[in-house]
Amino acid sequence: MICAGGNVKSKEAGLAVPDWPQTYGLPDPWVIAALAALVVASGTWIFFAYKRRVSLFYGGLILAAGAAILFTYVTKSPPNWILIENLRAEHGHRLLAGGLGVFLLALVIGVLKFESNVVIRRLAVAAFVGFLLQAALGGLTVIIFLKASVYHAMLAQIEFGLLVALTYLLVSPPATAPASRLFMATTGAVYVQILLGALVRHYEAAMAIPGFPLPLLPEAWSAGEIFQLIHRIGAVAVAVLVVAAFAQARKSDDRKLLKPAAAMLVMVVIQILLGASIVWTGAEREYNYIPTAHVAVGSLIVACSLVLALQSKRASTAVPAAA
Amino acid sequence: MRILSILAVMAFLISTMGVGQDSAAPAVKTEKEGGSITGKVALAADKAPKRKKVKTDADPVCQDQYKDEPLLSDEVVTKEVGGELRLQWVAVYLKEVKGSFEAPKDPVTIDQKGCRYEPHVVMLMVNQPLKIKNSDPTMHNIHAMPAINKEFNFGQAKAGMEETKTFDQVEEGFKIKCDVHPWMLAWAFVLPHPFGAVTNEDGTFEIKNVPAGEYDLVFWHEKFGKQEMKVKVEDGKAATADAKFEGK
Repeated sequence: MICAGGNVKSKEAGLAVPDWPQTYGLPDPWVIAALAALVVASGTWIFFAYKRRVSLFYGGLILAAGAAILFTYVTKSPPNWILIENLRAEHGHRLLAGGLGVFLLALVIGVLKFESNVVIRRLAVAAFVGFLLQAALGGLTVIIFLKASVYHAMLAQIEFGLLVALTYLLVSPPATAPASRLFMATTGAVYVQILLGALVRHYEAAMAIPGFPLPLLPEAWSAGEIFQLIHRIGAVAVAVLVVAAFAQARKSDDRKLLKPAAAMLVMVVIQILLGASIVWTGAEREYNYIPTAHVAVGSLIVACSLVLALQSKRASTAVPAAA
Repeated sequence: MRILSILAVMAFLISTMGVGQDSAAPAVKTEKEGGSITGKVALAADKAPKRKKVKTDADPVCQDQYKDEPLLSDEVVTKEVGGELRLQWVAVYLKEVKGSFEAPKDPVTIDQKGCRYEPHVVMLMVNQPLKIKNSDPTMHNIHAMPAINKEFNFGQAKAGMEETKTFDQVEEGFKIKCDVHPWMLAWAFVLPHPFGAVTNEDGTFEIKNVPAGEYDLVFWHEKFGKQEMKVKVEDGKAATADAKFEGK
């Protein structure tokens, strides 16, 4: 979804479908899909409530949701939308959102039904509520001609973080020990940098400082130029923190810390190169895949830093081997 | 004495002829009144700038229309006439005209044809209908981005679809674009009066039925900016106003 949404912005396709929740006057597919899935989910829940067949429940739900989405895609999407680049970007992103919504609905139902851990239950509900808010923000963005698009972009990253944390905790039960302060600080810095990046993008300020690495300062001092400057300073700060986090992970000699830390370090190098490439290519439309990749790698850095921070809680509770 | 009485009556009649009209407004009463402004707009450049080729592969219908000859951008369109480069798509209009003018009922039409807007620059009056047509066998959307008037964005999924919009505020030079086909761009001018024109492919223009008086004439181009000049219009005569933009 991050890639799909980033692609919409890179292609300036946010208003390629001018209405919401309809699509060119037709009922929006994801609304129909979600309603269909809700009906099937309720029926399936009742059927399996006594048998607790988790795999059948999830399987049936996903099959039903998939069938609903396929049906609406075939019958209700605008004609030839998949052939037209900007329609494919925007309408495809709405369809994907519909699929994600159905999946999250299944997830939150499953977690509330079968998971007793309070942290996980709350995270699942927060993720679903976050998704609903994101869908509403996306609709508002269309209705008020993109004026809310930066908030839609920011919430997407927060929602992504919630899902990464939820996925991690579903696989590894939560630990109670405090996380490493350095790793938490790195996660915080990465998030601030991502939010700054959203502001740069949505203020059309990619070329506000028209060169990389020089000039250091912009020629004017409007909002776009200031966001671009702070974003570049933020990149340096994040890089320093990531290197420090990697050094700490290496020192701990824990492979479960080293892997995400190493991945994060590699991603930061790639991210800086991608950011520079946007400037070097003049942010031209024909290179619109570069800003999309920049957004996607930013999200991957978020994922690595979150996993690192959560893993550090586990590492600090690990019992050292007896001498 | 008799002659004096006749002169007095004539003077009285002449003095009452202006009552009930806006004394500051040289309002045009009939089509045949006023003068006109004609002229040409040139570009000061060593050679004609090349029109940018537009990639239309984002839509196979558009791509198909330009498989032999590429679509060229309408941003800077020039033609050599009489040894000088003339500039098309320059909006020319009077800055201020005293009086009130009723908007025509006939619409100004903008058509989506060949995956571009025709015309590239459209000029209409406040509350005059703007008819928006889709002549292409593909989906377009029409996104008007005024700063003062109400913004709108709607789709026209098929050829033959039409919709009419109006603008109720004066506004100069705002974009109309298509979010499905990002290269498509037009510019719109909403004037409080009918005294405006857009230069044709020869770079010439004509503004008719202009009330006699002295005016500021504005020349606007999307890339080369704006310039003004004074022009004096006399009844029944054509005033000439030529402009030249510096090539960038």
